[in-house]
Amino acid sequence: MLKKIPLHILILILAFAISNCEKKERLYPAPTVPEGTITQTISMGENYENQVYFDFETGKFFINSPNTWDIGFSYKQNKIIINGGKHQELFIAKLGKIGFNALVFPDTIPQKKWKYDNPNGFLDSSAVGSIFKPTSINPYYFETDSCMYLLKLGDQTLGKKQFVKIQFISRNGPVYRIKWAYLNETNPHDIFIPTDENHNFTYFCFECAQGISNEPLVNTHWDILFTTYKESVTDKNGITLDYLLRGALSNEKNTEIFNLTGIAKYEDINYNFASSLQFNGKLNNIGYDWKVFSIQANKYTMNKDNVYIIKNRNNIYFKMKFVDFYDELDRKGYPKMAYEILKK
Amino acid sequence: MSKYRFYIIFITITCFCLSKSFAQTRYVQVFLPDGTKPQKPVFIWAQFLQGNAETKALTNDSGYIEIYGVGPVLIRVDQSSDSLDLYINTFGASQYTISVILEKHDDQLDPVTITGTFIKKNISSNPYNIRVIGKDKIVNMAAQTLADVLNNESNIQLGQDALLGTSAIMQGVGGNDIKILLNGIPYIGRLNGNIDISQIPMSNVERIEIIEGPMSVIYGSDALGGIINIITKSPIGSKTSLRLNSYADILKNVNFDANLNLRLTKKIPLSINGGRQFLNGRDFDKTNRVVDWKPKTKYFADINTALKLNKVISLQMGSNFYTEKLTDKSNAEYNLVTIYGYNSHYYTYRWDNQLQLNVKLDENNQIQLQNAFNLYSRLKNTIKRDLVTGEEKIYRPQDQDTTNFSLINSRGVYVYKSDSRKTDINLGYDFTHENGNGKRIPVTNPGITDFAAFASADLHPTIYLSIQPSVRIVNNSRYGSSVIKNYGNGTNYAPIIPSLQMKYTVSKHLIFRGSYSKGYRAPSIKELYFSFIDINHNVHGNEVLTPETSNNFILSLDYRHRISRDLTTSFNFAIFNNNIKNKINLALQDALTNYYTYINIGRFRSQGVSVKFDFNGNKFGMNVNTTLLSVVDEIVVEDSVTHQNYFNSQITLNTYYKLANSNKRISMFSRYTSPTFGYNENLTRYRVGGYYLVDLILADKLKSKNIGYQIGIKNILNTTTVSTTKNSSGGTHDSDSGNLLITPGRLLFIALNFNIN
Repeated sequence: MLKKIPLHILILILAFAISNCEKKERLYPAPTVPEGTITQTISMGENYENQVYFDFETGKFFINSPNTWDIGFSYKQNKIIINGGKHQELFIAKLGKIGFNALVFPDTIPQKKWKYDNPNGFLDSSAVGSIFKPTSINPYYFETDSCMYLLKLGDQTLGKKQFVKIQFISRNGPVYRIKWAYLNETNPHDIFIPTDENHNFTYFCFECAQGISNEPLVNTHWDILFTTYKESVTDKNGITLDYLLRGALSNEKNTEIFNLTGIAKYEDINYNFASSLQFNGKLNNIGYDWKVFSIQANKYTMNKDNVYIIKNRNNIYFKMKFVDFYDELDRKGYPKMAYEILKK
Repeated sequence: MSKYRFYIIFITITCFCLSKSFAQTRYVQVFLPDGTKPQKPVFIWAQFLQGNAETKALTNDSGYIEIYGVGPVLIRVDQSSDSLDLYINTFGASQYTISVILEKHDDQLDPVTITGTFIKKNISSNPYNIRVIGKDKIVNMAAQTLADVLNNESNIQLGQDALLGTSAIMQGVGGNDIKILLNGIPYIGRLNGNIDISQIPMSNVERIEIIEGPMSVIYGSDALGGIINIITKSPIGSKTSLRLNSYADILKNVNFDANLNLRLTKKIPLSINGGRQFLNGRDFDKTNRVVDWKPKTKYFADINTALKLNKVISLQMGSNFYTEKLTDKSNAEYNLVTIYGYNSHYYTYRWDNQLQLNVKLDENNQIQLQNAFNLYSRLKNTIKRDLVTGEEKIYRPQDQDTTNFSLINSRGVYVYKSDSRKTDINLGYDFTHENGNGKRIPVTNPGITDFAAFASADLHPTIYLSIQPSVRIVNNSRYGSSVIKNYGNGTNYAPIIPSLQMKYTVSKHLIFRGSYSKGYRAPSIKELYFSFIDINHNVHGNEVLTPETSNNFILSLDYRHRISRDLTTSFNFAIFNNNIKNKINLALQDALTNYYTYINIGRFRSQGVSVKFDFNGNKFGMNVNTTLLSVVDEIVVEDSVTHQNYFNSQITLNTYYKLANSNKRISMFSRYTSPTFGYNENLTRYRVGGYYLVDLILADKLKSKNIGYQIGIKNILNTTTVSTTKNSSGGTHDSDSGNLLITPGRLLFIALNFNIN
C-alpha cells in the first residue's frame, strides 16, 4: 500500500515535523562587576514588616518594627510628621480655632482638607506645615496659633478612638507641648514631648498615650532608612492616587543623596563627578521607583538605570544602585544594593 | 362497428366534459431518481388549489395513491432523507396520472446538518438559519485550527490574547455567551470567559455548523450568542485508509497529523487520529526577551469507534485528548551582578469522552442518548533562569498554579417523525454537572448542576409552512428549581426558556425563516467563585450575580439554486436583534486596591444585517459575506445609566479559479473588519482600528498518487497589529501599548495531504 506514495517523502516530513521544537536560549555574556563593589541585601520582609537603618561607611544595618507610632516631632526643625507610622491611612485636617468642647463631625470635612506629609522632608511640604512662630520670650521658645487639628488614624477598628483632636501649643528648646483628646472627649491631655539631638524624631502613640523612641541608632550612625510611607503618585493615565510605598529615605541629620537615574551610568561615576554635584536636601531622593512592577513578569523588576550618590557625615562619597528586590528564596521585600566607595 | 365507435366517442367526450366540472379520481405515483419505485411507502400530501380538498396518504403496495379533487393540484413529498430532496410541485388539471420523480439531494448546494435538530436535516429542512463550512473549504484554506477557519467568516470577530488565545464574537456577542461544541458536547475550560478556539485542530473535522442567536432551548446555558458545532469525521462507513497531513511555513510553524481508519471486525470500524502542531512564535521586537506570539507545542489524539448491536441499537464512542504547552518569557533583568529571566510555561490538558446510543425503534420513533465526560486542566509553572549560566529553578513553588474543570453531560432525546411529516416531536432531557477546583477557586464544592427538560414540535399546518415551537424548563442547583413559585423575586428562579422557529418554503429554491428565541445563561463557576490575588491581580467572583437573559429575533431569506450541472448559487439575507439583560462583565471596583469583580452591568443590545452570496461554477466561484452591526450598551453603575453605542462591519470575499484540465484551484480569502469598540475596566470606551486580511492559496490534487497540496501566502498585506486606544496594562496579555495583536504576519506555507486507501 505504501508503495503508492513516495515513502521517503513521508519519512522526511514526519522527521521534520517531530524534530521541530523550541530552540534553546543562548547564554548571555556574564556582566562585568566593577572592582570594589560591595553588595548588601536589606531584609524588609515579604510583607514589609521591618524598617531597616543602613550605614554605608560601616556596612552595618539595624532592623526594627515601624508599627508603633502615630506622630513624630523633629529635633532639627519645628516639624511635625504623620507619614510613615503604624496607621497607613492616617490623615490630618485643620479645623481652626475651636475648643475641645466644640462638636466636630469628621464626615462633613471635605476630602481635600485631609492631608499627609510629602516624604521629601521639607517643612513646608509637611501636612501640618510651618506653624511654630518665634516669640519674644526667648529664641528657643516658639508658639503656634493653637488651631485645632483632627487626626484620622484610618483604622476603623478603633471605633471612637480613630479620631484625635490635637493642638500643637508650643516648643521650648527641645520640648514640644501638645494638647489632645479623642473626638468624643472634651478634657484634653496636656503633655510635653522632649526631643534630643541624637535622634531625628521623638514619636508619640495616642493609644499608649506616651512618647516612643523609634530610632534604634543615634542619627550619626546611619545613612538611609528602608521603610513604608505614603506618597502621591501620578500613573500613566494621569490619575493621581495616594500609594503606600516601600522605599528608602535619607537621614536628615547628615546624609545627602543625589539621584542620577537616567543621567549617568554606575560604571562611569567617579569621585570628581560625585563631588561636583549640588545636593538638594530632599529625603526621598532614593525613594521607591528604583523598582517597578512588571505586569509582564508578574513581579518587581529593577529600573536598570537606577544609580545614586550618597554623601555621608564624613563627606565620604558612595555610588550605589539597587540590583534586586528578591532574596534567594524569591521572596519580595529584600532589596539588594551594590555600592562602592568613591576614592579621590 | 360504427355504432360502437359512436358510443365510445360519446362516452369519452362526456367523461372529458364531466372531468372539467366535477371531481375525479387521479393517481400520484413516486419514482426515485434512477426511475425505480421506492421500496418503502412514501407519504404524499396533495392539495387541490380549488376548493382546498387535500389528501395525505402513504403509497400503496403498487406505489401510488389516489387523490380526489378538481383542478390543479399541489404535491408535496418529503422523504426527510439525506439523499433525496423535498419535492413540491403543482400539476395541471389535465394530468390524470401524476408522476413524481424525486431528485437526488444536492449536498454541495444544501449540506446536511445536525445542530439543533438531533436528526440529520438539510439546510433547507432545518428550521434554523444555519451556516455550514465543509471540509473542502477547510482544506482549501489550509486551516490548521478553528481560529484559521473562522478568520474568513463574516459576522464572527476574533480576539487575540497572547496568553489566553483566540476568542470568537458572533452578532457582537462573545465570551461566555458563545457555546462551542464538539459533536454536540460543549468544550470546557474557559479563560476570561472564552474557549481558546486556536486549541481546536481541524485535522479530523468533517464540517463546522454555525447557528447565530440563542440556542438555550436545545443547548442550555452559554448559548446566548450562538453555537459553533465541530462535527468530526464519522468512523461509520469509512474504508480502511490512512491519511497524512503536514504543514510548514516560513515562520517555522510545522504541523503533522495522521488519521487511520480501519475495521476491527466487519461491524466495528475504528478511527484513530493524532497529530502535533508546533508554533514557533513570532517576535516583532528583538531588543527584548518577550515574544509577542508565544511559542506553542500542541499534541492531540482521538479515537472513535461505532458498534451496531442490531437493527435497533447502535453505539458510537469517541475519546479526544489534547495538550498544549505555551512558553511566555519575561524580559531579561540586567542587574549589576546577575542577569535573570523568567519563563512561564502554561500547560493545557483536555480529555473529552463521548458515548452515543441510538435506538431506532422503527421508522417513526427514535431515541438518542449522548453522554460525555470532559476534563480540563491548566497548569502554570514559572522557571527562574540565570541567563548567564543557564541554571534554572522553579520560581516560588508556592505560587505555581493549577486549575481543573470537569463536565458530566447527559442528553437524551426522543424523536418522533410522523409518516405525514406533519407533526414531528422531540422530547428530551439535558443533565450537566460542571465542577472546578484549584487555587483560584477557593470553594470546597463549587459544582453547578443543571437539569433541564425540553420539548419541540415541528408542525406543518400547510404544505409551505412549518412552525417549530420549543420550550426548556431548567432546574439549576444554583439558580433555583422552582419555575413558578419564585418567579419574579429577582434572583432565585430558573425561567422557562421558549423559542419559536418558523419556516416558509416559498418555492423549491426560496425559504423564508423567522425566529424568536429566549436566551438564558447562569453565571459560571469562575464568575461566582474565582479568586486570584497576587501583587498584580485582585480578581474575585461574585456570588450574588444574576443570570443573563436575552431575547433574540431573526428574520432571514435563503435562496439556493443549481442553475446547471456545474453552476450553483445561493443568497442569504438576515436581520437580527439581540437584547441581553444583566450582562455579566468583569469590572474594576476599586482602583486603589485594584479590586476587580464580576458584575451585572446592565443591558446589551446588538442588531444588524448580514448578507451572504455564493456563486460556484465549474471554473470560477465567489462568496461574498457582509455584516453590519450596531451595538448598544446600557451600563448601570451606582444607579446611573450610561448609553454607549458603536457600529461595526465585516466583509469577506472568497473567490476561486480552477485551472483547465487539472485539479489546480487558486483561491483568495479576504476579510475586512471595520473599527470596533470596547470598554476598559473602568468602563471608558476604547477603539480598535480596522484591518484587512488577504490569503492567496493554490490547491491541487494529484489523483494518481493520492496526494494533495496547498501552497500559498497567508496575510499578504502583512497585517500584524492594529492601533487601539485601549488602556494597555503593559502586561503579557497585550502587545505593546497602543497596538493589539492580529496575526503573526505574512507567511508563505505549504501543506501536503496523502491519502492511502
